[in-house]
Amino acid sequence: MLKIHDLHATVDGTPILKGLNLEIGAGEIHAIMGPNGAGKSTLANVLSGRDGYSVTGGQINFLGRDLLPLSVEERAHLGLFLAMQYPVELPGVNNMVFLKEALSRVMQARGQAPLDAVAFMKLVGETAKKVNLDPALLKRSVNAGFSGGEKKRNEIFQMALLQPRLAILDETDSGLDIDALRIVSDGVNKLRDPGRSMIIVTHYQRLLDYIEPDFVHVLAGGRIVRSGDKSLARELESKGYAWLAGEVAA
Amino acid sequence: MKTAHPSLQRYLGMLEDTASRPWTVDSTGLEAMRAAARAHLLQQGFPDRKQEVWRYTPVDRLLALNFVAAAPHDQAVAAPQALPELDSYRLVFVNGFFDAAASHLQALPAGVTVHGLAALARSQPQVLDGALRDFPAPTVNAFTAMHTLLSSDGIYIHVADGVHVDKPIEIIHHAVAGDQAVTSVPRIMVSLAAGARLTWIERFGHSGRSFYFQNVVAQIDLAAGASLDHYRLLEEGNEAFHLSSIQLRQQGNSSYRGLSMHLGGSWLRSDIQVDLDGEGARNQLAGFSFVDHGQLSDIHTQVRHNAPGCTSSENFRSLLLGAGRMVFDGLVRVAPDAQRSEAVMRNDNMLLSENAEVDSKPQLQIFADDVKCSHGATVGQLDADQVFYLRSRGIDIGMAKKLLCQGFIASVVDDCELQPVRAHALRAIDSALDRAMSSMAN
Repeated sequence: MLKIHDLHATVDGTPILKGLNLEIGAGEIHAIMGPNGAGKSTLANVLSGRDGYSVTGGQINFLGRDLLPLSVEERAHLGLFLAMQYPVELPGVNNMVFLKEALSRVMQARGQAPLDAVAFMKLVGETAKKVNLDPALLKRSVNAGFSGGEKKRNEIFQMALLQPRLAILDETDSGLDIDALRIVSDGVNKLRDPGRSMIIVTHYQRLLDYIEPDFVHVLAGGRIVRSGDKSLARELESKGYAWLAGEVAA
Repeated sequence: MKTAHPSLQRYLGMLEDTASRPWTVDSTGLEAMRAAARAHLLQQGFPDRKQEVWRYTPVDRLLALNFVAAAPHDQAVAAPQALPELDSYRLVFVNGFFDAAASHLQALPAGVTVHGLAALARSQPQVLDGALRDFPAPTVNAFTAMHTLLSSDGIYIHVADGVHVDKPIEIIHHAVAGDQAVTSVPRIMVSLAAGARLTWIERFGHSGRSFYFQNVVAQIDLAAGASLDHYRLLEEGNEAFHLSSIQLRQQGNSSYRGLSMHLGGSWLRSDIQVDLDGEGARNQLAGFSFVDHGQLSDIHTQVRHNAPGCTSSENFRSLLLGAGRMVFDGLVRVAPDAQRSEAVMRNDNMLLSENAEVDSKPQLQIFADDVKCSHGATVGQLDADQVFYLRSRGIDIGMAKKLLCQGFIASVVDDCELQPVRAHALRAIDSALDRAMSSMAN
């Protein structure tokens, strides 16, 4: 589904990713862990096509297409979704108008006919229920005045609505208390599907107790320095990232 | 006396033919008003940029143009489109002259009096004199003086004690410009007696050429406990000039809520002067300006807290394109005795182009010590993180920007309680944004 080969990227001229390789198959969940400043969020943003992240080398292939020339919205149309670490507030932007626009654009790209108002409302209601989102939040402006947990839940809700092929969860656990973490994780687990892959970017092993990954990668110094199964996450938790320092330097 | 501006001579020259004007009757009040205005004009001349309140307004551009005073329109004019789903009492002005035939005067409920001023001057000059005494013509500046000199029609609306008018009164100011560009000068007087309630809509538009000059003076009196909701929709022609001077006086516990939408026109200026004269009066001014390339939207407010315990709030927002310019000049003045005054003033502007310009000057002058007053102004651009967020959900960049612009003005438009007016404003903004986004994409 996703093949990243020898990816190099800079932010403000500073090299952050330095030859990153990663392959993700359909239906797989990959966790990407690593110390602060390793390039985890840079990877997430580069995949989504955000301005300010310059790819200086390497290739990214998504569903058989070269991802790099595509705009942010074209990537979303292909089925890429980024659940953000810090979802912005959009004061005054009506949630329903936003969701309807996003869904119809994504469905159009999939060759599906747009939903009528009744079907749309029904889908929104069912999806909110599925990921345990208070429907009252959807009557407000997007993320405006939401608590940290509500914002993260709203990200998962949007993901459930848009049904992406590849979801990238960027530090979704940051700022969540244990109850919110469980609710968000339940939502994510309900979206596991043989046709849907996920990249879970996280600092801590804690989230992986709730969302069980197929693979765990350690990103340090701009490269994947170690890959393994979920037991690698536990190893990291007990030993810290320092024991991989030698591999970072190498 | 200042050096006479060439335009001054021209405008004073227009007055020579006043004999043929419908409002030239034996009205002592009127004559006194005109004499004072003439003296003001001769003494002060037209303002220039050295005067603070005209600093950002290119008066020369207006004065260089050759407008003539409008004459009553002799042909029936197709009534402008009503706002969909708005049930109102309609009053129509054509080039500043009241068109009784196109208006709904018969249906007015008991307790509501509406007089066309020119007709009133002919039929009941003593009533006109009374109204003019109640509303002494304020000579605020050269343009209101010019208005007083040239104006020969208008309307007087009075709502009696305790009457709640069941439907909005809608005044349609329609400009019909021919080959010769005209200046229209209607005088509007609205008086609500104690406890009366009214919703009042003013719409400004045009047919035919888009080049004309609307110079409007509106005077509003709210007696104790009266309540007025005032909606102003300015959708003037692309080349049109519009100057509104609104003078509002409020007695105790009265309420005024004004929403001004500057949606189109080459040069739109609203001067809003408020005197909160009675304890507990509430005043709310909101406005939205959509300023296209080459246009100027100019908002000047003066809210004077003259009595204790009054509240005022101002919330003006603008979206600017191309080389559009916005001026906000807001002043709240709290008199020494006006304790327990509360005032908030906000002006927020969004630049959608690098060539747009905003001059924002919120000011507080506070002479009392027990007050709660604040003001703030921002000038910004679309937030890149917000645009990214929307695009990452599959929304294309033009629509993303449009949604954010709509969101930006929502705090003004969403407060509009009158659904047909809100819907109309949103449609107008929507199509303006569509045009803007397609021109930005090119």
